Amino acid sequence: MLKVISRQILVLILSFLGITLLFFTLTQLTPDDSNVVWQGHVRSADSALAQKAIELGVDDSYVYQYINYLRNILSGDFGLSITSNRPVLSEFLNFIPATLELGFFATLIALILGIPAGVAAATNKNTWVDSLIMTVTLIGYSIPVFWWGMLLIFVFSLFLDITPVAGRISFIFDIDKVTGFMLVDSLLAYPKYQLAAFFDALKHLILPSIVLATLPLAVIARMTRSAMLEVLASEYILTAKAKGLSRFRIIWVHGLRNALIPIITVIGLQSSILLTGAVLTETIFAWPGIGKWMVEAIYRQDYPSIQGGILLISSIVILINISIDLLYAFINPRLRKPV
Amino acid sequence: MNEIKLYQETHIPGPWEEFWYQYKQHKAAMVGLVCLLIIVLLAFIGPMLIEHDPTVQFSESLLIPPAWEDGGSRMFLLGTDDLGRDMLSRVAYGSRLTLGLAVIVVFIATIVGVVLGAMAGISKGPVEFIILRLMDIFLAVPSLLLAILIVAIIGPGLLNTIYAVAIVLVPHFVRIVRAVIREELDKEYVIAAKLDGSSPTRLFLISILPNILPPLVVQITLSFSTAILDIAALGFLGLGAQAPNPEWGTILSQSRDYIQLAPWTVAAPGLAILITVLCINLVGDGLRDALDPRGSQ
Amino acid sequence: MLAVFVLLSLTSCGDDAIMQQAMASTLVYCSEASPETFNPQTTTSGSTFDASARPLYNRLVEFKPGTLEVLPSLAKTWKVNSKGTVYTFELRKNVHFHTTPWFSPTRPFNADDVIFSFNRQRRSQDPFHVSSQQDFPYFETQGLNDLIVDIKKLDNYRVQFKLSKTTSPFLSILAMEFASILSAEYAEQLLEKNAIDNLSSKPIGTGPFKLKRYQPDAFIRYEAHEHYWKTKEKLKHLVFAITPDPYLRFARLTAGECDVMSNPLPVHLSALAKEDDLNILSTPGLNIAYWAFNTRKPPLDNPLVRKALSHAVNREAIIKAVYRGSAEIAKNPIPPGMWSYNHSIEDHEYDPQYARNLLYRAGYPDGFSLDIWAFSEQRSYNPNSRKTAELIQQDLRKIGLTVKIVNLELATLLKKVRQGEHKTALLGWVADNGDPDNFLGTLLSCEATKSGQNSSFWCNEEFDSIIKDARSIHSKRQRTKLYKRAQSIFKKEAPWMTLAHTRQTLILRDRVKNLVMSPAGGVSFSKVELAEAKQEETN
Repeated sequence: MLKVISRQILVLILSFLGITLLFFTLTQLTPDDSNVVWQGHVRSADSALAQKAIELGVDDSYVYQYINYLRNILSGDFGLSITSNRPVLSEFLNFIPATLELGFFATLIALILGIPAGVAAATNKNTWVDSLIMTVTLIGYSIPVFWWGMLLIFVFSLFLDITPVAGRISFIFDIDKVTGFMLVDSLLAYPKYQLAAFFDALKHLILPSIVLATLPLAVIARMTRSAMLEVLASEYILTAKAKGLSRFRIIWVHGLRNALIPIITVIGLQSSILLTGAVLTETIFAWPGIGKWMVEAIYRQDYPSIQGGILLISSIVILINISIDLLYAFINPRLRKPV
Repeated sequence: MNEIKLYQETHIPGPWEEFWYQYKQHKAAMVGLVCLLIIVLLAFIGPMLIEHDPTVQFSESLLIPPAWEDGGSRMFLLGTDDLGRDMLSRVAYGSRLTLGLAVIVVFIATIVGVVLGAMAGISKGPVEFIILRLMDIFLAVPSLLLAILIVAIIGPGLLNTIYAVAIVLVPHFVRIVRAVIREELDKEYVIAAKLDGSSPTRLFLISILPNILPPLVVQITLSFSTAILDIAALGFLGLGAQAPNPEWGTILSQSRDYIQLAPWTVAAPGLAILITVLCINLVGDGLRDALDPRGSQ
Repeated sequence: MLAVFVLLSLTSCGDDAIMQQAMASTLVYCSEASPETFNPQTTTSGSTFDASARPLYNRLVEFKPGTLEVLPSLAKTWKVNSKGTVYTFELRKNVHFHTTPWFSPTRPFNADDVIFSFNRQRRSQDPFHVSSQQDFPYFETQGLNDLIVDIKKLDNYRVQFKLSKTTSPFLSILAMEFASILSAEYAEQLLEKNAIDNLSSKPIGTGPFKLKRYQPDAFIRYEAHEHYWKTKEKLKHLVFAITPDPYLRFARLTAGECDVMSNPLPVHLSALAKEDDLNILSTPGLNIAYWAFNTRKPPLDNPLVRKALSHAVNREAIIKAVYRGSAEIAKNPIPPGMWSYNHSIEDHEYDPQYARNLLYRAGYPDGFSLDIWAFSEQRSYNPNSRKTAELIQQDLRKIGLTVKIVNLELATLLKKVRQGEHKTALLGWVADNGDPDNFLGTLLSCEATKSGQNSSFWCNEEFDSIIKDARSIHSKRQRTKLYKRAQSIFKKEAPWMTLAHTRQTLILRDRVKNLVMSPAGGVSFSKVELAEAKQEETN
């Protein structure tokens, strides 16, 4: 167990070094004055250091600059955003709750619909149920996210007028930003709006989370199907059948529990897919999360935000991967070793 | 001359024959294959059959609906966009552009991925370590963000889209190739070849490469659909192919303004992407099952 | 899908009365861009002025709503000496600044605030100027650095401006957004705390609304200023829903998520017939869309080439496809609604053959390659700059030029244009006051090449001296004569291809009353009311 953790932490550190090095190299490639362009401003502390560096004759040393850059990042200083003139880290923290909220609901939808769909397809293998589920998931796999989003807006918001067009909550509500999670914050505004704001926020979540859930749902359903098929063919299931256990118990208790192990790995991998999808989903639905923030930063050539944003996002992805690995080791008895 | 069969011959299918036999079993995959062939064919000859140039603007015919709707014209089967350009022609030329780009992207990614993967797989130690960690880093950044980042640095445009999407695809190839090589290296026939004194290059070409092919082919098809989706996404965000290139994603980003008034300008390119990617994925599914009989049983 | 319906049925449990009440007191305006700042001194962008100068601040004098007539505002009265070089303003008393969580004023508005607001922009040694590390683009391009010699506080409620020369548009200049009055007391507090940047993020003004909350790229929320010196606003809450995508803006409007929509696409107007609770508000705008040629970059330094480009473009097709008829072709750099507009100018007609001749004469028989910079957002003067560029690209191909389109976000584009990095760029301008100098002087004078506001970097001595002369005369007749001459020089030299003058349009819901558009562009929600909501079922 300890070995798994330490190996993962090594991966994290190396990846962190690698990503920062990558960015640092990129700063050297950009034609403009890299310090200003990538860090948004020249810090006074830096210039004092730079002065010292000149005295020591290491002004041009990339190593020195890289260490300096690393030190800034490790102290949480990603520079200032060019557009808002605010620290990149606080911008990131400002936008991340919206993405997490959306991602959470999307994952929820993907799991609640994906796993049963996969189980249903596996237990009804080669019937119309299986074909239907496989076809639908294949479409979900193939549909361009941005087009899917536009289609849903067109049908449900513009044509049928049952869901809001975009955004996190109606503009008529004045919600104090406490946690950044709209569902929580709108509940905290209960004295003012009772539940009206909360339900409004919930309504705004429907379409974007469906769009964002589509691809992971397809992946999870297909993964569940193949994992279930493998499990159902194994001997202990046959034993269970022979023992006369109910079909329901066999499938949902004995079968699924063992099929879950590979499924969890897949869910872990979804964090990266989800964030990719979030870029497009948030753009379509004017959802003020990190995906939209990144796209805007690129349109505005706000390099400090791009750099800080990507670094933070990849750190999150790595951390999620690590926790999934830990979880995997925890639930998979085969990986546990006698102490 | 008649060949006289003296013996009751049992025909043992070769690997390709076997593969084709397996693939044919898969009905959906056959549909996908046929559909994909039609799309490729259309991309090649389609533009020749269409009378309008995709960039010519008929300033008298702006936002004409498709021919089967009220106000449609037989001149423009799928209607026109807001500059009076023929949608059918734009989508048809777009297929050439999108498919062509995707082929180039996947080609580059495959070559680079296989070379790096082989290097990582055959040589142990620092080379492997560096390559793998590098790929880890690339995998840690969500793919579209990575592509966007690359485009942000080198600037938008057709060529840069190719680099960006190819770089995103490389790590998957590296991982697969390395994994297969590792598996094969431990097998006895390879050890035997090694003991016979095969050079690493020879070992790779003769013993290992044939075993990589099946998973590689599957990965190539998967990458092909990813490439199309990513190219379109970049185009949609305004960071990929630039107007007036009729790249599907680029068309979509431009026609988004007219979704309420001219839904056909949004429907046509979107459907084109969906159908193409769907067919490729069908073929990919079929290939996987046919190449990996274990999964299909 | 099932989940969707469960959720939808749940929503009916939400208290409708609360929704209705919140709706009745809140006006939502779907605006096209995030403001760059809430300090109108440091910007030139119209959408920033909409979000800052108009709701949050007042000026010494202001335009009468819907016109460009100058009326008293924070200055009750003023006197001008006979030479027109000394202005003495009598200030209004009992004007209160906003009280917000970040500032509580201890005194009402007085002369110190006026002096602070101008000196900050004027004097480079002023501590507030130094600390801001920002430019004051308008102040500079209006030439106020040279014009204003001194600003004196006579007593707490009297301020005197001394000018270096007679400048007839001076009062109109003071009515412009950049001349908004900020709180000196607040600035001092910020300077002490070393947080002067808050002037742009946590604004304090005397205007009808105060800032409540701002989420960049999402919304701005204002509240009525409870101690406003004019009659109190009927509107309690004002929200700017920042929606850069025009289709989304229109969708939000039709879905009832906002009450007013800025810059509708021309194509939206034609779809309005179907919606009976929406109205169009439209006036001829005092604006121009133009294609600027950087005259410092060959071959664009050659007037023949510039003329050739102007003749090569079919502007009628652009008006039709991009503006969908809601604009007219521009032939002069100032709009026809402005005095001194020269009707006798002959326009550069669309004539590709002639354009090719001109290129031949200029020594480019084989053409050359060119960049067009376009911006990705929509602006009142150009609903789709990318499309415009595509149309131009196609036209130029006919005369043998290869054109590359570069798409940038407007703020980035403007920054680069000011540094002269472009070859050609699609730009536009909306009047800030009714004076022709606001176009000819601000955009085409030699002085404006320094700040880069003159995006052609075109500096013509004759033109420049006419503009300078016209500025120093009071007689409108004589000025008209001079400006007409300036326009004919402009046409001969063709530093821009003048593209279009658009109509200013807003779409609003029925319940919005008393919204008046300024001919100078921009939206102000002062005095706007919301009619009682009809009792209709909203899901």
